[in-house]
Amino acid sequence: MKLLYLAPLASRPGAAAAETRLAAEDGHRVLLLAEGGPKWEGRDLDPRIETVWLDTFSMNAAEPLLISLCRRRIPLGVLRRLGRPAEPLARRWRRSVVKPLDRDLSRRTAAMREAHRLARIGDTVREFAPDLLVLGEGAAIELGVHFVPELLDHRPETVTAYAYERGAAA
Amino acid sequence: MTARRVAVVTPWYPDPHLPFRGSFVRAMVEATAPGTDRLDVYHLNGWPVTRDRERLAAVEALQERLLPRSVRPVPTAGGAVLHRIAAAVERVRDHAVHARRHAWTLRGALAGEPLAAPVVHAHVPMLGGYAALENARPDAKVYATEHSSFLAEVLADTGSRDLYDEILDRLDGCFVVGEPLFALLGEAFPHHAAKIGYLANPVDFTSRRPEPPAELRRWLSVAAFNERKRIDYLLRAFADCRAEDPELTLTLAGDGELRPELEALTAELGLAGAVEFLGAVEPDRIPALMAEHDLFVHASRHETFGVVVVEALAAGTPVLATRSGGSDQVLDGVEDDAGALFDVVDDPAALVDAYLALRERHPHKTDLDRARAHLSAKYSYAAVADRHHRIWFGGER
Repeated sequence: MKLLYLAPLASRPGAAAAETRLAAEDGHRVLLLAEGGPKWEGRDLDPRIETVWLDTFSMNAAEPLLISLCRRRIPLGVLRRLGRPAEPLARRWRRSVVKPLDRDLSRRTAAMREAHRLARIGDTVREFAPDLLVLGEGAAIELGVHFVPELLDHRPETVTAYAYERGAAA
Repeated sequence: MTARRVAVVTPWYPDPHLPFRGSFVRAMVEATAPGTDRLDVYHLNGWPVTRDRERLAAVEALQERLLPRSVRPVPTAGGAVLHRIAAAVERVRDHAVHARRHAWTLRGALAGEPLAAPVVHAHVPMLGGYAALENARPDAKVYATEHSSFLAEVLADTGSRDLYDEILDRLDGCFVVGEPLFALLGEAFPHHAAKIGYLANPVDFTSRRPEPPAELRRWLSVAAFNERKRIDYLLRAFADCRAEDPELTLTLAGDGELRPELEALTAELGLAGAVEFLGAVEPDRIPALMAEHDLFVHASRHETFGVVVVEALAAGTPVLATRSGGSDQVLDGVEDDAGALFDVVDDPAALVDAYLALRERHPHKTDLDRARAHLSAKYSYAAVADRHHRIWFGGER
């Protein structure tokens, strides 16, 4: 069987490592699609497992230079130079201007990362055409809303699971 | 339909990612399954997902489609059958929301059918209990055991407390593993007091060291590295004892967020060569580990049961533990035979004094065999299984 194990945030790396190893031992071709990074240190992935690392945590939305200069650096720099009398104003500026900018940046970063994850997952599902799809964490279910229904409509024989476990009755 | 068929519904059960979480539920299943015709474990594993309404609705729709087709039974402890179910729970702190989501998820996994068993035993009433009640046959007996160390937090919220009240009202019996939880529930729901009883977690008494330790020099702690377990306190007290006896060693089995701080404290106290950090240890290794050491030390601030204290004595190892609620209840009547208890205070001298006094008494004025026999009668697999079976099939509430 071709098994695709989805762990897009790698929030349960212990389960992903152990279950993919088990699946490889059982003779399945296993592809693990997951966020990469330090969470996998010491997890000892089975060398037979193919991997697609997302590496989305290194992606960050950029802020236009003009906004960064005019709404962050210059006003805060000026207020800093004015010293203690300007501190209340600086706090207010951070609260009313900088914080919304941070929130917006954070929203755009999250959207960018999700779009990247979905694009990679979509490509992988199309190319790999799994017989067994393991949604191994909450984020896999959350992202699954964008492609699992379509996958099941087109290939209803695809087996779905939340874990790979030996001895599972089909 | 078989008469001795049981369903266990639990939010905690060991899995490859968290191999220790809910190991006491697996122990309960291992102990009790052999006395049943069939025992099914429904592990509702809570996975956090978005709380954004629109996205959550999409997750619900997907789960409605996935749940009936994605859960396959596998063999588990004691010949029981395990059903692992992902409960996609929105990221909110409201325990009542979690309870309803667990119940909804189990219904989806069962494709709307009720649990087939005439007896259902849940763990953690708020999560497993509510899910069990909402999915049990109308004629089923439903019981629950409370283990949660966060129960006070649950009851502090009005909505969660009201739901807990409803759960207790609907349950045929509710059990706790120790005195602190008994007191907490009795105080919060005095009108349900008659329905609340004790039911212990089982402990393996099948192996033990051949002789009691002659000297109490090799200390062992089995505890997570969190604030409640007070490993920093233990290290300071150990340092004071070791200043007098440089041959003392301390093994720390466990892991957690405080590990870097504890390693730094170990170095700061000059204990680098005397303290060993084992990391997290598989539950199967605990009995051997207990038997390899001379003294089990436990400095926890609060325990709902104190299973590690029983495990130590099952292995024939004396204990030095705090009066943390669970441990003192477990050792009631055999405290001096088993070792020594000391009060939960900030001064490490409490542990040091208790250790020095115990060292004077041991082995002539301790009686580990007596303590072990006393605990085995209450907490061995056979004893705990018998109690469950009498509750489930024999009419005991």
